[in-house]
Amino acid sequence: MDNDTKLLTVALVLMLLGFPLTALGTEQELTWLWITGLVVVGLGALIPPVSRYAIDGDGDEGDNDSGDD
Amino acid sequence: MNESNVPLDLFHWALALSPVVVLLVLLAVLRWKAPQAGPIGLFVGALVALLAFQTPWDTLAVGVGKGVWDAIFILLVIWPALLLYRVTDRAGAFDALRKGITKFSQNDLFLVLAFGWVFASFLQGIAGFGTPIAVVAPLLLAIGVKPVMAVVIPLIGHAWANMFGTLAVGWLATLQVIDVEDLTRTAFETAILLWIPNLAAGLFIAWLVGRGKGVVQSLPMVGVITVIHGGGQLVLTLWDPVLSNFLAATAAMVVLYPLSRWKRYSDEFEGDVLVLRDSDSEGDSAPTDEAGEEEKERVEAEPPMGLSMAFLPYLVLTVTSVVVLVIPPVEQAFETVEIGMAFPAVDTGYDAGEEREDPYSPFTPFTHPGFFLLISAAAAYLVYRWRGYYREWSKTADQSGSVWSGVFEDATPASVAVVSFLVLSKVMDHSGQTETLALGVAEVAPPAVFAFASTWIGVLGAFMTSSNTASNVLFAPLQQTVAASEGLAESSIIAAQSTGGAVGNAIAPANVVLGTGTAGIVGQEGQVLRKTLPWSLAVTVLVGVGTVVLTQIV
Repeated sequence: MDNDTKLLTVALVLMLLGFPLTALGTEQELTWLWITGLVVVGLGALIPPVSRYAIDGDGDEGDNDSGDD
Repeated sequence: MNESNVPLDLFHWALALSPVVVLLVLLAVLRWKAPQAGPIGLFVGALVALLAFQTPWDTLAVGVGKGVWDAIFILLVIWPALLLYRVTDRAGAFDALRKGITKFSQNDLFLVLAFGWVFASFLQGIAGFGTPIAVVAPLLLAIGVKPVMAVVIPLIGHAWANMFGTLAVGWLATLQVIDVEDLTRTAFETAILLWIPNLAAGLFIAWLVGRGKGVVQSLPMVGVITVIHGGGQLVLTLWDPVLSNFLAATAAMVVLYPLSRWKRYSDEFEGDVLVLRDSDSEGDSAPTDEAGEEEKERVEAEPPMGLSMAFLPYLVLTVTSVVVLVIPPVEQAFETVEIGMAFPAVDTGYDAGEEREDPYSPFTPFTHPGFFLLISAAAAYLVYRWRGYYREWSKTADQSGSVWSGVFEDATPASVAVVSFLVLSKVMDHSGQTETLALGVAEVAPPAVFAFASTWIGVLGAFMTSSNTASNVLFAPLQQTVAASEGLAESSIIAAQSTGGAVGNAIAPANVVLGTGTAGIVGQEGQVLRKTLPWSLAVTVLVGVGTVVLTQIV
């Protein structure tokens, strides 16, 4: 698995974790739990745009155009 | 829950629109990949909710949680679909499809229409939830269609079938949220308007294939199929809307065989086929690089299986879906297992609240399209392995990496994008941004203008949620209320909402990403949108005009 896929997998897992944490936290009125849920979703969502610049340098990942029209 | 009083000034309306605009600019103009653009849109939507729409943090949390759950529903289609693709591709099934189908018909125009419009509509009729794109895109790739076109074509081809497809789940969901005065009239008017995107899809796909010559050549086929699709659905809504699309789409599949025997559609298309890859692997000048040589060898090699065996997974998919979903006692038995979690009631400073839901949007795993795709993938793997196809085809095609590593590489980027889009949708809904957008249009529009705009509201809902059903759940109550206050026929406005919701599926980011994911071109969502967006806009204008006409004459 390449680095890009590994990073996106981490992002996805974090975002998916948000579901049970926010559901349980809001339903049981456990503020710390749903805030944790929001934080993990936020962290997961940050990974792809940040990695675009942090890992790929200037953010120019080359032409996404495969030549297909 | 109190009636909401979301702000309806231009400032708030523009802010509510901003996440959608940001997404479109990032995807279509700056050509960001969807997994990167989606989260940015999500953050913009969340910020607008917190700062301008008086959304408490716990309301945001509920919106986020529901959005992730909605996304999981779609991911459970994406992953099995990609697994099916990888399992069949490694056995040489797509190469067998390509070689076998070209013996059946040499006409690329016929084949693209058959797969991208007729088969995609059939799959939407039975399975829905992105299955047409996930299944048809790889099939089009197998017959040599360019990857971007392999996504564009089924996106456009399947859109009309969203409302009454999947055994009319969109229609049934609409009836859950509004009391429709005249069910038959509303269903009938919806089918009238849905005929527009159906015909437009056939003609546009033909134009993509061969421009004017393609359209002229396709006219008899498009004419026959649209009468069966659109006309059949129209007539059948008078009897039973639930089966109207399924039966019409199935009848069109059957008609493909006699059409393929007609010389016009069995002989090669006499024109430039613009959607095919510029491949020199069919005997033109020899490629010089190693990858090109491998591709040439693969294309010329005899696949290990015949056409019928290559179609096996799709036959299993069709049979299992039909048996489970069409036979009521079977469906009821399979629906007994239900999964979901509760979410509490929440509110905002503008009283844009949501009721408590326990459970929220439960799903029944054994009637979910992902289940049927999984069964098809398992059946294909077992049969192909037993017949020794993997071993045989590995001598010809590159088999580096496991099936699962391939699935991960394809599915993960698409999944991140889908989760981002659905979370954004729910955040906008829970904060009242969606309501501001729709009510803002209704506030400024006189009756005839609103009649025209009602389709656009449906498109907006589908764009945001990638679902005709969700668009109707979101906006049908609003549209019904505004129709009554504007003195417009409820049936026509609900028909416009439903048709807009269908058309919007052709540009919905989550659907686009589903397509690019299964076609192996994640990152080219902007290119896909550049084809589907003009079609969707043009069709929405036509449907809008049709709605105005309906409100005047009915």
